[in-house]
Amino acid sequence: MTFFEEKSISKAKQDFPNIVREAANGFESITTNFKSSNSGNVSIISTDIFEEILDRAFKFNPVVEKDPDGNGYTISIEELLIHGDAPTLFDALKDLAENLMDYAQDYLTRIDFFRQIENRKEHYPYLRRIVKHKDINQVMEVIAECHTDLQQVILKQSQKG
Amino acid sequence: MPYRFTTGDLKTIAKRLGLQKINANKWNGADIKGNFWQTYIHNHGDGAQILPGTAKQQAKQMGFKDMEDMYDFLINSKRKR
Repeated sequence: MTFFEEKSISKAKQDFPNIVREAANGFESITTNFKSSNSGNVSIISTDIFEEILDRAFKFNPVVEKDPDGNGYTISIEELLIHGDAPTLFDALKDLAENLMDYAQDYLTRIDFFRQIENRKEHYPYLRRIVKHKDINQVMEVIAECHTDLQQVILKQSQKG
Repeated sequence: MPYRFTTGDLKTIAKRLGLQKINANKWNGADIKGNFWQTYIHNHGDGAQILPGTAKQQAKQMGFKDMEDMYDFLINSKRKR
């Protein structure tokens, strides 16, 4: 028994309602365009499973740098070539979240362009995690998920109201 | 040696690299090797000092090896990327 039988596009078209039902139950279907050697395979999987994989495998690792003269903070995510800065740690995180939301929206809008760019093509999974959030507070929490100091600063700010 | 940059310095560098100002803070563009460079420059006035941590990130975001490399580009007006 093979789990990953590749279906042609015409077969997938015929079976599509069934494929969607199976995907919702956790099964993956792979579709291949047998008429074109240039197009890769396409997997149809549950969005919940896809997002679970991204959430587990693509964690953000923000780096905080405090200005030695006390003028503010820079927070960067080096793997995405992006940063935010401000006089306070909370506002620097907010600035980074705004920049990240802006980049994610641009990236997902022009994904065919960015996927061809050597120093950008690997950014997709991280930005896909960001783009599903409309609320900047949720984006800040995602960025801070592996950084205790940033989690503390979000908590303090929420307690202030 | 600690390198200090102003907002005006960063705008000059971005322009010389051919980056375009996309919105209030975002500058981006491509180089001849096909890399895409993008950075964010807050508009606090051209004389405003940039935080060293921010300048370090901006250097990487515009394709420089480090801040020293970006400073060398700034003072050497004949230098190409």
